[in-house]
Amino acid sequence: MIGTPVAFIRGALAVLPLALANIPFAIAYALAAAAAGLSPLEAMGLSVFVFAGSAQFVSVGLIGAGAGPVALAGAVLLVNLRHLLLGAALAPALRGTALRHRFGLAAFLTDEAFAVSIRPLREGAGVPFLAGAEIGLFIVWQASVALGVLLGASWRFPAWVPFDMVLPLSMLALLVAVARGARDYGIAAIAGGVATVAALAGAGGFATLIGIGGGALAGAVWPEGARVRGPVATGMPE
Amino acid sequence: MTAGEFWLAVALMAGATYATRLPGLLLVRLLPGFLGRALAAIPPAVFAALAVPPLLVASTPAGPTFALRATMLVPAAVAWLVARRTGQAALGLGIGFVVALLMRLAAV
Repeated sequence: MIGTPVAFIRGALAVLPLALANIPFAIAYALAAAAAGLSPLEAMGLSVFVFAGSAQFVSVGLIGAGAGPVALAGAVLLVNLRHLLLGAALAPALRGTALRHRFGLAAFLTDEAFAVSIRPLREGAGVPFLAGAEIGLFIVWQASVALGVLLGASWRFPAWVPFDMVLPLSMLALLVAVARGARDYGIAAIAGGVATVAALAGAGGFATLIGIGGGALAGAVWPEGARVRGPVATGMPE
Repeated sequence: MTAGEFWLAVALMAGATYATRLPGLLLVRLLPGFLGRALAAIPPAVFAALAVPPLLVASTPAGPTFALRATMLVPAAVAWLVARRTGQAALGLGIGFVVALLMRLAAV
């Protein structure tokens, strides 16, 4: 995208282990999408255009709960707000990068591409490294979703296969991956509890949003103690 | 949801995703502390808000009801433990799914 093919390939290779680890989740997304009633084309289209793993899971869960387009967009906006932090952390290393290149990089920015790129970028690896990591993950993720879509469309699974567990189990596994201690688990407990109460109160597709809002509010007022460094404690990989 | 509504939703979701990714890359100043903490809290909040209600809330003709079901809770607990102990989220997901499968098979 921005020249220097070697740096681009290095970025793609750097993200490969994380991309491979994401394959089960991509397949799980495709199966959850099928369970929510999405056609193979819809599951694939959502994945290609939105390209944000947790937001894809959220949207599939909400579609299954009967949410409309505006509620879906609101949920995805909330879920992806953390990308603000990723971009903010990358911004100093992108000083001098053309605006059009930043617009391009923004389309494919993910947690994984950020995680493997932030240090090389600070050490002068250059923007092509980040672009390679972003595109490398995009290709592996979409190929894996396509595999899951084919699997879901071509096999007729018996009724006792617990597809209803794919979403909660995936989310629990991802929770373990992002939680960094008691504070994060406390926030998760608040968010999960609030979402459950909202669901019991009949909030339907909005229960998730209400739970996320509760968790974010708890995070805003819950001090981070000794882990706070500088004006922003991101909790993101460095 | 009709096909038209679905693709409208996809367009809105894609726009929302892009709207969260671009501003950070254009930022020249740091975010205020409380906003940073709130944003950092969102990932665990998202995953918990999606994981917990399906495990604890059952749909009944009378509406959503609180329910403690071993077929839901045991696989979830196993998945969490495996992922936490091994540090492998995908392994936790896989083993949790197998446990759920075996428990459903035993109940058939």
